[in-house]
Amino acid sequence: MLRLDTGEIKIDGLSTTTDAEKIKAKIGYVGEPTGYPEESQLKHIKKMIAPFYETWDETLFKKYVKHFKVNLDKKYEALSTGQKKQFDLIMALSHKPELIILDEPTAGLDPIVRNEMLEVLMTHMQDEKVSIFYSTHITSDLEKTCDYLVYIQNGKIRLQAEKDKLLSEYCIVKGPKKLFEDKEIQREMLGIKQTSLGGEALVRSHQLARELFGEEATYCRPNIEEVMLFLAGERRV
Amino acid sequence: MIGQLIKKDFIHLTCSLRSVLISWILICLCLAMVSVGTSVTMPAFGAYMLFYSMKAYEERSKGYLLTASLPVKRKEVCKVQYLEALIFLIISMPCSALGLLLQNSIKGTKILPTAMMLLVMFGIGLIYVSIIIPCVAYFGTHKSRYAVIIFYGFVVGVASVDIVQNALRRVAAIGRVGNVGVFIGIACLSFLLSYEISLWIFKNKDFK
Repeated sequence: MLRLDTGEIKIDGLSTTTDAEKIKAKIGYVGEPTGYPEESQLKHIKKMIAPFYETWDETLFKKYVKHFKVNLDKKYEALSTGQKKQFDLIMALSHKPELIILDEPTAGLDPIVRNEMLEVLMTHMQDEKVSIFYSTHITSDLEKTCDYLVYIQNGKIRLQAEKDKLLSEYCIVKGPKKLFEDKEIQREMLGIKQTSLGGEALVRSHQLARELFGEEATYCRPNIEEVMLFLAGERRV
Repeated sequence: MIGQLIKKDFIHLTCSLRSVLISWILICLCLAMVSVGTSVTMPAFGAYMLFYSMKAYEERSKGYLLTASLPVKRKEVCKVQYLEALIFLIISMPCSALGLLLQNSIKGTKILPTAMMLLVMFGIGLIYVSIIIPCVAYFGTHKSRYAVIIFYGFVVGVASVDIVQNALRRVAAIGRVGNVGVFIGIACLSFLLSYEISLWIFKNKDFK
């Protein structure tokens, strides 16, 4: 959709410059906005879009319509935010894409609809063997669904790791202030927070943490939100 | 994919934009019945009205993003603009002819649609859509209206220059059939040139 400034993007060995339409056939997208005509009924939107995809699966479409209880006679503009996202997701999944790009698909949704969408996504991921590229600010969604995490801050990649590895290996160290004052030790910390009473630091592994801080500190496993907060907070010593 | 793109737009037009279609039919018939002059220029206006309305609705929903995300080439998207404008122009012509016939029976104008008149209608329409399509592609529907007004101001300015007027007089001296031939030739050339300009715009455009 955007022209390249420099370099090249390849998906499945295909270049976005020369094989854009082949790549787009393999991609399903849910984001804001999708560009569906506001004044059209959902059944007409489906009629407009389905012929573009050779892989369109009508049975799958009907299955998801039934699952989400979507009324196809409704106009797109008459749908609530949650219903719009559900319909967008149905349209993105029904042509059986190999790559699904979801840009904040659950933003602004209530927890029930959000959970329902995540469940459908996870089932689809297992049944159809697809890759899902999912951007979100809701870290609890990531803990439920993702395998691999990339954390981007101000346009720069701050962290990329497998989720399970990150949650099992990364370690939060808590202890008295003096433990965190050594400059050599500070170099090993991914993030640090200090108060007048003590400090907390994020370290890459449990083993490394124990080597650095010994028995004087306490150790615990972080969740994704804590990792993000440590990385976002720079080194506040 | 050109067929699918045209089908997509026509489903949108016939199923969701029925009010646009009804206004188009009424305006076309009414305009065509006012005078011979409005009958001749009506197909151009009809094609413009349908094309512009569709694009305006598309812009409101950011439908261009949807089109850009579909597995189609930019060249195909560009071609479809021109094919649709041609279709709109062709379907506007019978309305205009019907308006002339009604004028004849109601006002007794005794001017019936001839092949020559239809050719002139087609030529005017072709030039009109040749101007509007690249403007809409580059500026969007809102700003393109101002761009078209500026363009017409430029054309009027150029037409008032002596050299251009002398050239027009020479063309007029060719005779009626020759004039229409030259006019249709110019219209086709402008259509092709417009397509090339739009293609360049589409190939370099960021859809965001």
